[in-house]
Amino acid sequence: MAAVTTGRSPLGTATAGPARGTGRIIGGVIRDWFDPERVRQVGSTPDYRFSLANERTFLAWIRTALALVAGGLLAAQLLPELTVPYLREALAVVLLVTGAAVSLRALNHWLNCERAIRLGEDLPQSRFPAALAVLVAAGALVLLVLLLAAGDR
Amino acid sequence: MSWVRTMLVVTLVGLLLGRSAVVLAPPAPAGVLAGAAAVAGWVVALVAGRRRVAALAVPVPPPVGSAASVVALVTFGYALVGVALVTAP
Repeated sequence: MAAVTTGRSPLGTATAGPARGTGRIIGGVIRDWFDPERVRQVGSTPDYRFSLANERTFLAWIRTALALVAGGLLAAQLLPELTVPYLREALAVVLLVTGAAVSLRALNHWLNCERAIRLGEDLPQSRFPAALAVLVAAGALVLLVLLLAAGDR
Repeated sequence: MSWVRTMLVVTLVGLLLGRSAVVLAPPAPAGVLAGAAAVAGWVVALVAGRRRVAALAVPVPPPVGSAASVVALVTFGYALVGVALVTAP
């Protein structure tokens, strides 16, 4: 993949010679987050409907992240004490950290998709949605078991 | 409508974070800081969203620009403040 071998950022805009270090690549990614206007420096301006669809998908991911954050805050405030000490707090932290990860992934994926659209490339593939679905389902099952166990006491 | 929906959810999470700052945090200064962060994030996200909604009210809207970054980073900040509140002694 050119983004790795040539040291380009995911937007393909920052090149400082071949074989840049991982730290500089990560720095380029973070710089792209704070300066998304750089995406307009690559490729050609696409049909605006594609960009708007990408924007709507990004916002849907942000709402997912906010829902996870809300779930974490509500778990910490409203769940009863569970049988395992600090499990309630651990559950809340997992939800909050997952929400944080989803928000950053949403931003990164939006930028990568925008770049791919502008360059006429295939959209980037990711296992993140499947991993998130498995994580949420597993968490819900664990919580259900714990709540049922707490109800039996 | 997507931006309006998102701003509504940001408002809800901001309120929850403000409530958490009162319920979970020790009185001061952590609770005050968390409450201030909730309000500041809400205002910043609301302004960015409002500008984007206004920019979309034309036949060919401009690119999204920094509004997306602002909303994502506010969400990330809310999550970090939430972790700090939950793990506070």
